[in-house]
Amino acid sequence: MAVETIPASAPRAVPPTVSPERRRRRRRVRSFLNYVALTIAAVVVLTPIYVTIAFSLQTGPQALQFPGSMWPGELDLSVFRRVFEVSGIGRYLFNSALVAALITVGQVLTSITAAYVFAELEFKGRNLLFVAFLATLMVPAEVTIVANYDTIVSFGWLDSYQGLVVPFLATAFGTFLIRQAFMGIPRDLRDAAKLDGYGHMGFLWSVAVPLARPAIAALSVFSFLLAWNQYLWPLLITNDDDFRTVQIGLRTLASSNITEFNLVFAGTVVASIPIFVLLIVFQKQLVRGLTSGAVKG
Amino acid sequence: MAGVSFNGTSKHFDDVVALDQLDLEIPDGEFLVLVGPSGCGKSTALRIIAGLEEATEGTLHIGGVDVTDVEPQHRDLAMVFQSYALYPHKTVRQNIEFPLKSRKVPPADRRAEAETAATMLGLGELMDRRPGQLSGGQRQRVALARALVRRPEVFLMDEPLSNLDAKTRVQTRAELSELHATLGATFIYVTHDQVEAMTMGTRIAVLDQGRLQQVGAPDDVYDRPANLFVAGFIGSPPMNIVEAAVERIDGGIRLAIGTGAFDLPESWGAAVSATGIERVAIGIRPEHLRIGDGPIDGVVRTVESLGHERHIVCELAGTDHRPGDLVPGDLVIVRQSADDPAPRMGEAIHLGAEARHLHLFDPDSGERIDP
Amino acid sequence: MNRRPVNDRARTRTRTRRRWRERGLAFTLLLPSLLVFGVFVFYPFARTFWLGFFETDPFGGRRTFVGLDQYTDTLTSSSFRNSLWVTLKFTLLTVPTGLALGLGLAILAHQKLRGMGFYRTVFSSTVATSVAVASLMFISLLSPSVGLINQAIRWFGGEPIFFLQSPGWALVAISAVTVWQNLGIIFIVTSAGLQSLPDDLYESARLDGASAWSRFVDITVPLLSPTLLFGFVVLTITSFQTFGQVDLLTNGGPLEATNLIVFSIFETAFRDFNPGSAAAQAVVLFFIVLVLTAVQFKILERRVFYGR
Repeated sequence: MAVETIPASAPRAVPPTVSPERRRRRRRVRSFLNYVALTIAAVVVLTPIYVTIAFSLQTGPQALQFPGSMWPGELDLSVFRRVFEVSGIGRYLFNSALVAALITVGQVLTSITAAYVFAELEFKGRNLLFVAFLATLMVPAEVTIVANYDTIVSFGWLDSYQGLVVPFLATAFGTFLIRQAFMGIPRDLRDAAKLDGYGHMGFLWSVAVPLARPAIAALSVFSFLLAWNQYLWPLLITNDDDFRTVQIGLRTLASSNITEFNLVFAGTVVASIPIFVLLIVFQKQLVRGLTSGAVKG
Repeated sequence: MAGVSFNGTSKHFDDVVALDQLDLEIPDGEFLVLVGPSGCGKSTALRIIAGLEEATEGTLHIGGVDVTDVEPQHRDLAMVFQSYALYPHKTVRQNIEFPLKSRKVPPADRRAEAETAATMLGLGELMDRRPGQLSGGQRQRVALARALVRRPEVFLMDEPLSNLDAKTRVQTRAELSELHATLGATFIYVTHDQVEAMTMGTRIAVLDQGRLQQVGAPDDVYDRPANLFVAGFIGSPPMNIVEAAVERIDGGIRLAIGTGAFDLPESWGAAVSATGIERVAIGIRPEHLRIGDGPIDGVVRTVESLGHERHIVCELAGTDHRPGDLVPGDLVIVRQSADDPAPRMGEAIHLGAEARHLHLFDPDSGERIDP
Repeated sequence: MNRRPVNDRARTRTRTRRRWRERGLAFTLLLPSLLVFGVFVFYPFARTFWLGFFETDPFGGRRTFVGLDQYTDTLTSSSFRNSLWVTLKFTLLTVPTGLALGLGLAILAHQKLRGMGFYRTVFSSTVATSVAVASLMFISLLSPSVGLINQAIRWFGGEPIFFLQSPGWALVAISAVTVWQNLGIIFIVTSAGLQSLPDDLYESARLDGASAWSRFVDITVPLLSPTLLFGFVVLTITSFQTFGQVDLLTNGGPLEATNLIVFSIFETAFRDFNPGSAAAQAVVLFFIVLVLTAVQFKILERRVFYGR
């Protein structure tokens, strides 16, 4: 054996050892440093949000006294009432919620039906249509605004919910997302449903859609977020306060209240609360949808 | 009344012929097993009955009616899939009720029917669980219950036991046979496992490369395989098949295997002569070979003991085509009772069998030669 | 036995009918999407190219066909060239910074420590901010009068900086807003990428005596590079689509220092009422994004092949 060829007198290197105590201490120091770094990073990330909230609670002169302005004196929440009174922010929020909800429902429905076609039906011309869907991903909305504006004008859809919603009722991204989920459904389930007496529509709604729920949830959250945050399009086609979304409302608020900055910041806070709440509530669904397969067991 | 009949039915996938001109009559109430190696066309045949595949040629009749182009849901049959195909988001109850729902059965009746089917299969406790929470055997039973609840005339089963552990499989095999007896419906069962075929079928149909090789009662197929493929496929360990040279002596026929030779009975001699072949394939089941005295010489290569019986692998003397090569000559398996005296490895032996246990085949066409 | 079926004709008819029924169903299910895409993507896309051939006179809106002249005029105009240059600078300022910071946060948060859930939520929080919200929040930092940064500068006795009004600072300020707003999504994506890396690689590297830095350089970066590359391309595309920050904070100024390409299209079309020139610019934007998208698809494809 090879071991015996080593001369007995050869000194064996002793690996450096660390006492358990020292190791524990070292670990504690390291995790303390980690917390320090994490906290600094968190403070930096949160600063714009914090300062906005702090400033929304200040009245004029008080704000200019750094560093005192970092800590709001008395909590005066009346500014949040005032922002609803002086601006149409209530209406803006309603419009945004309505438009985003309509777009979400619409996108989910059109994605489900289109995804089903690309996942389950076979017919001549399918590939061509698939390529057409793919092609829409290459045309950013910014490229077509000039022509789309003309279309909206000719439809008489300026300052209307139709104008805000209809152009976004289809999504290739969503179609591909749901199609992926449908394609993960075992072939046998499709066959079993056929024998159980279900045609395409029966299978789609009572088997495929429930099984694709995680993907559908992910698409819903994603669509809603994108629709809520839209800026260029609503700016372009709405002039009437009755149809402005909250993003454009903030713009109006900012440009017409330059002196009353706390009002602007209060508006900013109000405008962001719904989406923060929504994301915290649906965070899990989104993550689950993106990570887990559709069918298990 | 729902027999099933294939009439020259074929299925082509592009250039591949999955099923080639199948003619098969399955009478009402039969338990027919479609058996063959993977890719033999058995699943395609089943899917054509189910209506999940369109036949390229020929027709399919169920209960005397041409259903070649009838949609699956109008064919009055149910199917149990290899994967069970349970809907993972539905409870056991909802799974079982699902086929009734599409047929607009009122909820109360649906529930009652589902209960009946579930009780029959001992699923009473599990009605509110989801498939993910069940064992393989339980899932398999839910799939059966879902098939049963519609009281179809024809049951189709696609390798329903292959995902079960050995013990559950044996048990379920018995249960399925019992179920068939109780319901009296037509069962068509696909498997690659010849043991399942032998134990369950009232008749078995052996398929290979899209063609029907033989159909008949299990014992008939076992005792009189129609060709070399069936001979080698049915039976475990498989039938020994050895080629022999045909020598014509005094109007009789002598078959030479390696260093040994024996004369064929006269009745057979005529049949072999009639074919005019130079070589013949001899088939002998392992349990019919005897060690002791006989015309064939061999050497014991390995002895495998299974406890209750013994498999002895012998090499036939004089069949070693290339002396000194590691490739062995013709090997045969002898199946012995554990009570018989065991030969030693390397021992020279003589092998023999009764003439009635011989099977002869044309080695080129593979067809059986009967006396 | 009816070996040769007599009803071949009837069968073909049933099957043809069934095929057509399937095709009809497919068409019905696709119709809503096709309508929307047709009216709001394909038609306006073609029309944009078409509009580029027409010049609009500044008073009437009378259009005259000028062929490719408008395209060459637009491409050679100093204003449009400036827009392209500004957009490129903006991309260079935002994309690498955003990726580096997002990755940094992801690595920082990729540890098993108590309370990590809180930090993760904080780091991903900016996904919830819209352009408008992010821009206005940054006014609280950047405004010359009330902005926190300028308050601090004044408190230390310095002169306030007019971030949004000075040509040197404006693009940097816009970029800062953008980086901050993108931080959340970059954090989420790179975090997911990190979590998908196999633990055993790190364990074996530790056994091999690799230092923390070499583990980062030799394992994390190469394994994460597809994710990072993908993020890089997607962020570049979005940076070419940026509009809101400019509209809210600088209006393209000062001296066109923040006149990003989409803002330029918007201004040309809806403030200067020159849709022809705007369309020509949009066509250029399309080709830039097309190249970037092609790169993106290539990466996605490769990701599929090499198992992400």
